[in-house]
Amino acid sequence: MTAPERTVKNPLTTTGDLGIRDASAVEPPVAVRVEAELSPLAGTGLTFVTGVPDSVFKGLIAALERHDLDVRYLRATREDNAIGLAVGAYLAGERPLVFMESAGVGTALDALTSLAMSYGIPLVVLIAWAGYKARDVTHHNAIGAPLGQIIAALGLPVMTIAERDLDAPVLPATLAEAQARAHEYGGPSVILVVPAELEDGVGS
Amino acid sequence: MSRDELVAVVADAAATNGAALFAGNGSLARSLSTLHDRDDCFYMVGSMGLCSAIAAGFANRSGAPVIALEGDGNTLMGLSGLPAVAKAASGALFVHVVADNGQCETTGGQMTLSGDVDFGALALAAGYDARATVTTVESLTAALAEALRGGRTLIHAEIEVGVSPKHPRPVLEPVAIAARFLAEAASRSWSRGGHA
Repeated sequence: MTAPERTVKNPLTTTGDLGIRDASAVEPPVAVRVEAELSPLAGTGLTFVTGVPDSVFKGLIAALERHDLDVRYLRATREDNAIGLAVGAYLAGERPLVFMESAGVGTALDALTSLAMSYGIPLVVLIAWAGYKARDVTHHNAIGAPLGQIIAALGLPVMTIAERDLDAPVLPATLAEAQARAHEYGGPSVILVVPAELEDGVGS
Repeated sequence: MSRDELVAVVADAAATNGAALFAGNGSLARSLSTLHDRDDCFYMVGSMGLCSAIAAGFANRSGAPVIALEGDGNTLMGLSGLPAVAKAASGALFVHVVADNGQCETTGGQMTLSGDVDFGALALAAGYDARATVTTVESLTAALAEALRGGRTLIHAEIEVGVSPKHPRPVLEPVAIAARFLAEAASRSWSRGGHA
């Protein structure tokens, strides 16, 4: 007869004799870490996401699909109905983020102005800046080159970050700042994301 | 059935069943806000085509029974969003009423493309659970009662042109429409998150 195995205690509340945490006990095995991956919404203050994909959001959307699909992440077919879904969610008490590419701003312009701006809905709008400084292909440059001026002409608060900032620990703080600006402004607040291949020292 | 008769039936069904009511921009929002104003009504003033998307986003996060009321021009403009609406409203009690007069009456009666369009078939193809087509107050009343038992239903309601009087725009400014609706939703526990 073998002795029963020792009970494994909660590593977060267990210390050694000298009151020092055993790091190996705190660190969960790799498989457990993967399972314990948090929703991208965790710690951001945001509670709802919808939008239309861009390649810079590949990792973000994959994580949303794993954690929040059809619950806090709803798929949209166009950027305008994404704004519509987000406004509806806001009316139910959520704090929404809408993602899109530069081209989507054209599609979403009426929804942004006659709905989100007119009703004072503090959405955070995350825009992958295809066509940044006209360093891209023709159709992206056509909207990307004037995009900053278009957003400025709308009068929306705007921040510009680099693609790598989407994966950085600073992202929750950036999203919190964008929400604060949206509330201060009383309407949507924009974060422009410069794709890695187009940047020259933007962001952190 | 006139537009005002339709609006009266839909407003009564919403009130009786405790459903939130979203009205598309133009004649329907004007009629509803003038004749049957309630705190749980959300009136669109612009963003044509997005009535069902706003309503479905609310249905998804609130758990409230929801009625989206819009004209055929609005539905046709928002057609690409129908699968997103159907998915967002999955598990919700969601009634999508299309008031079809075959024209954009608010802007002067220009013909829409609704004549050859089977709205109920489009809704089913996009993922809705049920459809109904009605032409009278009685059949609309019955279809609403059935639809409000559960699931996602599109009710295609044919209405007469030029019978109802013109009504003014909603008195409330958009920001007041949103604030009032938000407060009502919170007071009825249709608000899960709670704004900071």
